[in-house]
Amino acid sequence: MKSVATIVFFIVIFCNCNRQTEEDKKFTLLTEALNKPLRHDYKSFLIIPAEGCSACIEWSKDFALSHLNNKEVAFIFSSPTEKRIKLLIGEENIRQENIYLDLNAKASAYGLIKNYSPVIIYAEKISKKTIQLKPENIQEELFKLEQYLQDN
Amino acid sequence: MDKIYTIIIYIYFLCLLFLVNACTQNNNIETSTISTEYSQKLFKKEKICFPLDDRADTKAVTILPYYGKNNKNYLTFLSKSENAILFYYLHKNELAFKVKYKLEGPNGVGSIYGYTIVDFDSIFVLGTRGYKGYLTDTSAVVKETFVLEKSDAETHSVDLSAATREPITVKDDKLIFKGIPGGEAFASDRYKYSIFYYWDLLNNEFKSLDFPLPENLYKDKHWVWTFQEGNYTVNDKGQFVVSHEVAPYLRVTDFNETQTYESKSDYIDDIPPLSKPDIESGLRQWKTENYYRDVAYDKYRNVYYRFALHRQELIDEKTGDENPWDSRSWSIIIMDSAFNKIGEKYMPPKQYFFRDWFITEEGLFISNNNDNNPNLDEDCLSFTLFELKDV
Repeated sequence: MKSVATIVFFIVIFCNCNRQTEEDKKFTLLTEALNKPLRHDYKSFLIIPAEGCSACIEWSKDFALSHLNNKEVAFIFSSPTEKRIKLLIGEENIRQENIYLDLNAKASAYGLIKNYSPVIIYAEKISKKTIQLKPENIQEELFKLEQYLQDN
Repeated sequence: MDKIYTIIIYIYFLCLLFLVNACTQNNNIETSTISTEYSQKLFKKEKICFPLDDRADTKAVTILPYYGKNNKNYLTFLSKSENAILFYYLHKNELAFKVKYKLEGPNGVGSIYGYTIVDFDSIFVLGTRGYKGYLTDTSAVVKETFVLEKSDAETHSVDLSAATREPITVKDDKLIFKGIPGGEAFASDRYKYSIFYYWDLLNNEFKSLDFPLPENLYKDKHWVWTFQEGNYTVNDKGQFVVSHEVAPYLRVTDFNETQTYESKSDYIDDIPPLSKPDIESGLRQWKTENYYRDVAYDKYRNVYYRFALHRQELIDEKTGDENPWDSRSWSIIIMDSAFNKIGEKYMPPKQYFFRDWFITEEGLFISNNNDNNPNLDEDCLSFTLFELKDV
């Protein structure tokens, strides 16, 4: 009986370890397309398209600029052109440690960005939690992200 | 007996396979090979470039030629990244000057949405999240401010917009804007509200013009919100020629009378409405489905151009990536002054950007700044000239 329980236990563990959701797979693919290797110990990520919902992008950009070099959150700016990202956040900020560039707009191509709006991804223990931002929820979700960064 | 049975089953499956294949092929119309005989054709000529400095983006949103005094002609466009209108000498392709607007303060206009130029002393700017208009000049001084909020009995909110495809228009002491009724994206009564609004320059009032969406196309049907609008141009008679996204016709109006003229693309079979009104289906419709966009009046040749965007798959077969909205093929329908179709020009995918264009004596200039174009030059607002000629 004990051995059956042990086997079941290991099967459950094994299944959980391999439970990579579709979103996780997309995110892994995205990390391979960035301008530099993504550090693995970030707790959260904010993916920001350079074009789309302008109010959402403005809020997210301001959030990013006020958290430069934060070791808990990475900002991935997505655009087919580097110039557009420079125009958005300033050339001087493009090389900050926690700023990453998705210069082939793969975040949209892989379907992580669904409605030309930023996305927050929390790196939770087993799989990632994705939140699509829109004008109605952006302030609340950025506030939650701020709290999450302070609490963790 | 078993053998015969197996052969019959085999033939049956082959037929089935053939039928499935035939159906699939039928859905993917080989669009570039459609060749209907027309009297006029757009011929591709040279490319031109307006050099951009490191503060200007390749996407202009609003592009307007402006014919000034003493034969000084300009191409103007909105540089959102600088909150400025850039004036380029039209035939030299050199930057003449920039009119940079402040975001805040006594001369602040917020982020610019669009503008129209009467002369250097009268530039109307739509700013501050689209609910304030400003009368300014080339020194970016604000002379007058208009609060563009509904002041009549109607209760719905309106989001004003302005771009090349929806130009702010000055007519009979009115400043006319396109407005999108606010509220729920899939609200069933959206079609009842007008898509045109005006600021009365004499009485300082903001009102709507009577021009709702066509009921037969919108009542009891669900469309993504971007298909519930209209793009327009103004012709030599001062009439507004309106291209609704899902309409196989143009509506021509002076806001007293409206006429309808057929205007169909050879590349668009149908535009099916959404089966369920949700955000994901709506976005998919916008990214993949056929629809009509800009309409442009060419006063030099007395013709109209209407842009038709063609259906595309959501996922690119080769890369497995999602296709961006602007990576599809499209076409330009050409109509004469009486709205008879006289031509249609196929435009290949990922090459031209249908949002940015302008018209001069030389012809129709279409932007080359498509983000999906591998030859995209970030430092150049680049256009290809298309010349209209008899076939």
